[in-house]
Amino acid sequence: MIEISVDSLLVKAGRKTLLKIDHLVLSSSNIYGIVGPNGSGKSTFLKVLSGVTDSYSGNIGINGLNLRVNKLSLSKKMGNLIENPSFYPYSTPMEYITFQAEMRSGRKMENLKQPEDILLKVGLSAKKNERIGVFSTGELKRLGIASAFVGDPEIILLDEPTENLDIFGKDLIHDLLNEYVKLENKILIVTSHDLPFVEKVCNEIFFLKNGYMSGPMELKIITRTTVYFHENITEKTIPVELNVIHRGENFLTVMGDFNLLLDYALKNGLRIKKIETDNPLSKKYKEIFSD
Amino acid sequence: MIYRFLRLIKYYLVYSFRSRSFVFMALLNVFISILILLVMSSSGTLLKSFVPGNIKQIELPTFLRERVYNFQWANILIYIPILSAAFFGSTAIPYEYERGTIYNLYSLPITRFQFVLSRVMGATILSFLSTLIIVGFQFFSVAIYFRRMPDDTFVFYVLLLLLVTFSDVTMAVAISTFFKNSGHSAIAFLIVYLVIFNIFSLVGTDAGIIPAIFIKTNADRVLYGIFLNSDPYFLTYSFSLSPLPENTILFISSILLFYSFTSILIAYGVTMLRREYR
Repeated sequence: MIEISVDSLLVKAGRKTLLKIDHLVLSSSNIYGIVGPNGSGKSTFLKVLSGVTDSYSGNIGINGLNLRVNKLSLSKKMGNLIENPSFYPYSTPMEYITFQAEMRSGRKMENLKQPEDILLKVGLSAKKNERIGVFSTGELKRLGIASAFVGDPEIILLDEPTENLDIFGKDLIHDLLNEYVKLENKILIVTSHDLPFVEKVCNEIFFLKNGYMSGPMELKIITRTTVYFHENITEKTIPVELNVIHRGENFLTVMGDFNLLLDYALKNGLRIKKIETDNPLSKKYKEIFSD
Repeated sequence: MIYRFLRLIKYYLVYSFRSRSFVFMALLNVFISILILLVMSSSGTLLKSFVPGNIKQIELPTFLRERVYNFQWANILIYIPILSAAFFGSTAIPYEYERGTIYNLYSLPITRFQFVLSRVMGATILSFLSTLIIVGFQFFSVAIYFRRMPDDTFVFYVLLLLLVTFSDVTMAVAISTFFKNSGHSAIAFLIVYLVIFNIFSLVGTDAGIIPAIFIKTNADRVLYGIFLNSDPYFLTYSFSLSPLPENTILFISSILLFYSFTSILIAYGVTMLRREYR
């Protein structure tokens, strides 16, 4: 069981408060999401947690150990992706990932299977020996995520993991996160503007507004999707497994995954006019940050 | 702990060796060396232009040839550690800010002191290796022009060069910690070294505040004098140390080491004080 406790955390730049958290406890095995507009303090929070900066007041404990005092031993257990991932252009992914793993473990890696596996999972296996300098922004993001996961860290901090990723990349990351959190004693903290992604992967979500944190919001409501058709569907029989909660003359509203509904439409020759997703997190987000 | 420190240096060196800046510096030094070799081969023609009359050939006495040889090589060589320090030392830390890799490095289980020291050691190795290219050419040119190998003092020559390089690089790294832009830090280092120190030397020495030898640029110049073997009454073969007493050499070396360790402490202090929020 891993537990991160934050008490009276205050980060200031001059007179401006960048981050203020009175009390927060995060425990394994969960994926926590932190959302908020630009400049709300999300990246600052991750920088403080990862030990990049120790210019803060208050106390951060990981399993009872003070982060400021035990930074070296605690950072061995952490993997992170902070800010936009940046690398050395003349290095290769394999070299970089091995470097990260060896720095965390403090010894030479005899077996390179783990770096190879993680590169395979993020879809960079074929490019493991190419120069990083020629990579696209999305590939750099994948590599950054791989470097956060290598070495089996207990705590992973990801800053905007889906930014610049295509739909396949997002799916890969989604699978990787879910696979990781199923293991025991792992905590994952994700900050993102990608609300559907956060909603999809996180168990609890916190909101950061001007450095102040509120939440958590437990995501028990599942996304509702309404699909509108060109045809009238009043006479159609709708299978139960589609989870339809509402229907009209030319639309159907379903809970959760709407892929079955799309299959149904395809089989029955229905032409889709538009798709509307009613995202509870987006609603909450707008409610909090609308001013 | 030691493994992580060495691994940090190794990774820095691995990607730096492939970088354009190292390749450029290495090629530049090769180019400079070839130019010196060409100048050496034409030095007889140059000398003839100073001699009146229609003399077809000038044979210089060996000791004069050796002095010309020393002057030609060392007069160029003395600038290389400074330029290399500006090239590698000044960029070692700001480069991490420019690329954004600093956040990853700071989150690794290493201390700030290890980080600073790894960059100092890495940049010193890079600077020294690029300087050694010229020294290598110089070494083999002895065999070509004098048909003999350099004497034993060559080792001291190289060690003193390493000391100067180390001292220049540490100073460049210390100055660079005030900047997040490698170009700015390189220019700042050159301004401090070439302008500020010289002004301080003039003013400080004139006012009797500090003996001239304690200013780094002056201490460097004493060692450069050894490289040039510029004492006219000491005309033995090149690479031999000029007739400075050993105590003076040790004294100068300790001044440079003092500058180096002070620079490392400054670099560490500034790195510790920096707030890495943005």
